Order: sequence, then structure tokens, then C-alpha cells
Amino acid sequence: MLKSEALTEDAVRGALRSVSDPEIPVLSIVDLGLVEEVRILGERVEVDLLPTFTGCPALGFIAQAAEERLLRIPGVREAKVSFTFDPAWSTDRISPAGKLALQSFGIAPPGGVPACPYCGSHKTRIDASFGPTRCRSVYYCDACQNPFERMKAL
Amino acid sequence: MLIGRDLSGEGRAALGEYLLLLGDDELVLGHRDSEWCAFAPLIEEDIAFASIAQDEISHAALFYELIESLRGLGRDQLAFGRPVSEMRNATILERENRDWAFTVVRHYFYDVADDLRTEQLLHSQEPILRSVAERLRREERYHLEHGQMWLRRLSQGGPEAHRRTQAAVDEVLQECRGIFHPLAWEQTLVAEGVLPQRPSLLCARFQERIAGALSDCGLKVQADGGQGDALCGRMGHHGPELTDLLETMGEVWRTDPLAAW
Ligand SMILES: [Zn+2]
Repeated sequence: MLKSEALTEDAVRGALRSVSDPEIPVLSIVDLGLVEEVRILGERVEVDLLPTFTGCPALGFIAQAAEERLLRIPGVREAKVSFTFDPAWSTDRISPAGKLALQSFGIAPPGGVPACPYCGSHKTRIDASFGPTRCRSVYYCDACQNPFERMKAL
Repeated sequence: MLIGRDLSGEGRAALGEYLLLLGDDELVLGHRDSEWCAFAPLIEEDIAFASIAQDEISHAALFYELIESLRGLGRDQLAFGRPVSEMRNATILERENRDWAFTVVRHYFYDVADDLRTEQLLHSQEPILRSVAERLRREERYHLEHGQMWLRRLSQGGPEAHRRTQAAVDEVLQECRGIFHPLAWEQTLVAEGVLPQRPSLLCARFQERIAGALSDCGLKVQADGGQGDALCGRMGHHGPELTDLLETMGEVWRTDPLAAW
């Protein structure tokens, strides 16, 4: 086998950009801030992820998708993805690029007065704290009179 | 998840007991919350209670996972496979939903109690308990806000709403003191640094906070002559309401306990 280029943490994080939470497909687990630690041990890669939601049913799916993706990086022969609750994940870990992706997907990101994802107005108000999934609230835009969803600040 | 590595055998046993009680409270109340799905007075509340139920049940799953890494019992077995006498939830949480006022009042009182308990966990010397508490508190903040909003709304909602809310307060306030029932192993948790203080001592602060919230809404703490939690769920003494709940909740699991879901 040809010697591959040196395996770097950047390469690992880059690869994980194609893995997402199935509930928010536009947002990679990297932009969501789930990737806490990457360890490269020769041809073995270990990644620690932070679960977004306690007991989220997508966790197993995310771990499996991440391991499969890691194994496709040249030079990786073994991959192990684990979850850790320490530190606690929070929506503050979502990257600026991730927030833009959420907004264009139609879900306003947390933080400050939300801009309506349809018309961009800040004349918005909360309609219901609890939305269609555990991580979303429902807002209403007084400018274009559309309801929209917003990711809860957690 | 690494937990309890530096504890003595007695400390690990006490931590296991505490985690079980935390998990059972969340599981049982989460199941009661789920019973409102499709029956709540407003569609927004159908959604809210479905969401809150998922939060509470997933918190239970998390506490059971911690027990799993502490002593190797599977979380499904813990949730669905125990006889009623091994359940450690406080009695008030197993009570049937009665009416909307009872539901709102019980949940709000429990959320206040849970807020004090998780605040205590933030000061644990077990790092995993600190970060779990931090995580749970971010979700619970929304439950507290929701409960406050409803308590106010019901207390100002006309004579019948006010009367039923006060009746619910009278019923819940007595029995919910059982959440803080003193337990023999509490001191071990303090001695080994798992908790900064015995959880049963939080009861005084709990009662203060509840009294404050009630007076903000024009509700009263009626003269205290009751006996608290007479049944004592914390000691494994439960009523038929929990037997029925467990029967329903575990029905599917029992058809094939070894199935992978
Ligand atoms: Zn708009």
C-alpha cells in the first residue's frame, strides 16, 4: 500500500463535515459543535462527540455514519466514535457558518431577536416555546405574517 | 462514561441509589406527561407536553445509563423490568393526571424541586454529574417558564379555574414533600463529595420558593397539618396508580425483553 499523506486532525474534521444530524441535514456535526476531541493513533482515529440532546435517538445513527466516513479517509484502518457528556454541549457551540446554514434552511438560529427566515425582518415574536421537535420553538413574523421555527437556546 | 471511580464501595452503592431515584422520578412523571398527548386542552399544549415528556424520559434514560456504567444493569431493564416495590419515585409523581390544574401544579412543583436538586449536582466532585446537570438545566429552564406561565394563567382564569388550582395546590403541596424524604445513604454521598449537602435538606428552600410563586399568583399555602407523603414512594411503597402505569408502560417491552429496538 502506498504511504498516504500524514493524517491530520484537520483532515479528520474535514471528513466529518459530510456527517450530519438527520433532524437537521444542512448542518454538519462539525458546525453543530459536536466534535469535542480527535485523537490520531497511527492508523486508528478516535473521535469524542457531545450529544446534542440527552437520549437523542439519532445518536447511534450519527456515530455509525461518522465511523463509516472516517474509514474512507486514506490511511485510516480503524475508527472509533464515542459520546461524552463532559463538557456539556450547548447551542453556543454552533459555528457562524452553521448558524447561516440553519437560517437558510428556514430555522432561525438561537441568540438575540431572531430574523425571520422568509423576509429577514426582526419584527418577530415567540408564539410557542415548544415546537415540532424538542430543539425548536415556534415564532411569528409580524412583517410577513408567517410562523417560523427557531432552534432553542440550550 | 466514567463515574464513581474514586468512590468507596459504599459510595458507589449510595450513588447508584441516588441515580435510581432521579431516573425513576423523571420516568414516571414523563409517562404521565405523555398521557396528555392528544387530550390537552389546547393543541399547543399537546405539543408542549409531548416535548416535555420526551425531555423527562430521556433524562431518565441518561440517569439509567449512568447506573449502567456504575453497576452494569441495562437501562431498558431498569426502566421496564423492575417490580413496583423496586421503584423509587416520589409518590406524588405516580398520581394520575386528575385535571389540568393538578397537572400544571404538580409539574411546576416538581420542576422547582428538580431545579434545586440539579443545582446541587453542579457542585458535585464527580465531573460527569456536573456536566449532566448543566445540560439538563438548559432544558429544564423551558419547563419552569412553561409552568410559571400556566400557574399564573389558571390562577387568574376566573373563579372555577382559581378554585381548582387552589385545590390542586392543597393536594400536591402535602405529598410532594416526599420528593425530599430523608434517606439513610445521603450522608455517604456528602462524605464522599458526590453532593455538597444532603438532598433532603433542600426541602426548606423548596417550600420557600413554592410559597413565593404561589403568593405571586394570589394562591395560598393552606395551614400545614398534613402528613406529607404518607405512602412513601422513596422507600418503594407505592399505590395502584403506579402498578397500572408500569403495566401500560412496559407492555410492549415485555412481549420480548431481548429484542433490539
Ligand atoms: Zn417575515
